[in-house]
Amino acid sequence: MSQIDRRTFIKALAAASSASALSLPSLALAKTKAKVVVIGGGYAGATAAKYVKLLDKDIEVTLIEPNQIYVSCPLSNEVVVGHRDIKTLAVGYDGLKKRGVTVLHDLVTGVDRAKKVVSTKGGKKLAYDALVMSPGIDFQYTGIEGYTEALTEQFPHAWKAGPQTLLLKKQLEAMPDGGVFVIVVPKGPFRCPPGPYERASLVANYFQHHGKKKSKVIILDANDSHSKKGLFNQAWAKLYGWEKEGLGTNGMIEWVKGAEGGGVTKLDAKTKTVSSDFVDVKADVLNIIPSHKAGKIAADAGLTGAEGNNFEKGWCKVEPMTMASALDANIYAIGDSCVAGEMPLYGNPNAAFDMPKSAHIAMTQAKVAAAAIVAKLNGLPTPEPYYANTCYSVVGDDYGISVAHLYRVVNGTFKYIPEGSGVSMTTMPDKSPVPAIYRKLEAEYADGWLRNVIADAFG
Amino acid sequence: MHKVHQGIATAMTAVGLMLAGLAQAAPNIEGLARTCNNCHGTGGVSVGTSMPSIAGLSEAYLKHIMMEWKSGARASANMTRLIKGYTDEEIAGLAAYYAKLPWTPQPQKVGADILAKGKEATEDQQRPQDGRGQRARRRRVLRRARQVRERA
Repeated sequence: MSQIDRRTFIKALAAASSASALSLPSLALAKTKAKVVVIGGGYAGATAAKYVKLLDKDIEVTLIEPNQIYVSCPLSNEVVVGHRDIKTLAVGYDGLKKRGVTVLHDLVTGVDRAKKVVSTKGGKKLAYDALVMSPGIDFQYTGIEGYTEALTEQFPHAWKAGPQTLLLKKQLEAMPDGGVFVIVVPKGPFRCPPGPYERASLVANYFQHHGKKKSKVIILDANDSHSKKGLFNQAWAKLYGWEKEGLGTNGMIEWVKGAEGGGVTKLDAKTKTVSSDFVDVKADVLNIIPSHKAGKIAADAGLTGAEGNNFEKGWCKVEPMTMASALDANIYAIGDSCVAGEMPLYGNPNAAFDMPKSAHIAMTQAKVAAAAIVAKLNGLPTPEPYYANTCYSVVGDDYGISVAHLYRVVNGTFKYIPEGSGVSMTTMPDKSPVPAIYRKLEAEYADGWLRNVIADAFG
Repeated sequence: MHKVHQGIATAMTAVGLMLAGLAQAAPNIEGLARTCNNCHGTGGVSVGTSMPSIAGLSEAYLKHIMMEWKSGARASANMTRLIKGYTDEEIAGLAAYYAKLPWTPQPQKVGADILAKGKEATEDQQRPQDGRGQRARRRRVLRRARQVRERA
């Protein structure tokens, strides 16, 4: 597979430019000993490392990742409510090693962009021809008075999967019937845009199955709308008695938007009470998701905060054709730490928004970066990029919903393709209700998707 | 190198025109196919039971099903959305690309208890009408089950 893929890839690249077709095959066949270093072994970094190797096995690839085991954030909400064993989300790096990737379990301490050298805590210095920057996100614990990093042990975010996921699960299980489970959602952009609402759905599902039907999930949201809103509201009405927005409704799930006091600014840790300008809510389980920025390594390397609108503050801006950093042509910034493109934000076509921070889009960014790196290191023209997203949310028993996004690069800028994008149907084309099999299939696809993305990135 | 970049600029303009339906440029099918791999597995070989492998399926079938999703003639919970963003040429290219890849059976992990049940059921079915053909078939079934077990 890798041999075929590589040969046809290089052939296709050469054929893409008639000027280069005659002169480049000798280059393409020459043994390149270029070096690619990948920082961060999440979905983005693992995929980039694998696909560089698949496309040109003669390139040396080193992946630097402190952890021995990666735990998938996608579908970790199923772990919180006991539908899934956390083991099914865990994957190691043996698959990448078998493909010839050198995996270094170490922590990056610095990137010397002038000398093109990465330094690690373990004292290693790695030279690179191309660097893939995929450190993921870091949390900002500012913005909520009384909230600190240490309090995440008491009020778990469970927004990086692992011990935090299991802590939230334990707190949910210990919560008595009639309790209030509060989810505090930060101002976007945050990773996994539908994640908080999927979590709310599954927690309500847990209440139904575990004798806690008097309990509530309250979402305090700093934003005024959210991903797949129509579909979530439809599912909540069908499954969890959802009536309307705001506090004090009869349904199991209550959602308070930013404009109506959803943006939490204060925490009283002693009484587990969160407050905004408009509301105070006392929680039994308090799940605070802190706001996000690009991983510290990317910021320390000076790749974030590119000049531009507020939206780009704290994130890595990229070149659409290649995913190369707008600030350094030798560094490719992919995954949750980058800001890429514009798309309509939840029904408002005028609002600028970047590609959603999802594992799926991170992997297609990684594949674009891998192809661009291999082309560049072989002296071949940049291949045409494609970016796609698919994101499933499981919201109840046999009930899944999804969103798809497609992007192309047109005249050097990201172009969101609405014809190739969209959410699951809320009604059939003739306005009749969507048959249950559609929802069941999408719940099953969520599991198939998970297995395949893990295998495609790490296998 | 300068010429190469000019070539890219031309190709990009062509993409813009192609979207407007005014011109055709050769799409980067392998690049597009890599996005399919996310759900359908590396090289189109799926390891998730709910997602089909697409490598090695018939080109005509793949093209037909994708074109029907695109036109709305065929229902799908998901594929009807993404596929509408692809040109007919890209769809034909994807069908040809995956059809050329080898069909690769992917054994699913099964617990020993389930395999034992399967074996028992097979034996029960075969015993009353045991003849030469059935015996050979039974051996094949058991051999296959053993292979799956060993590979899992």
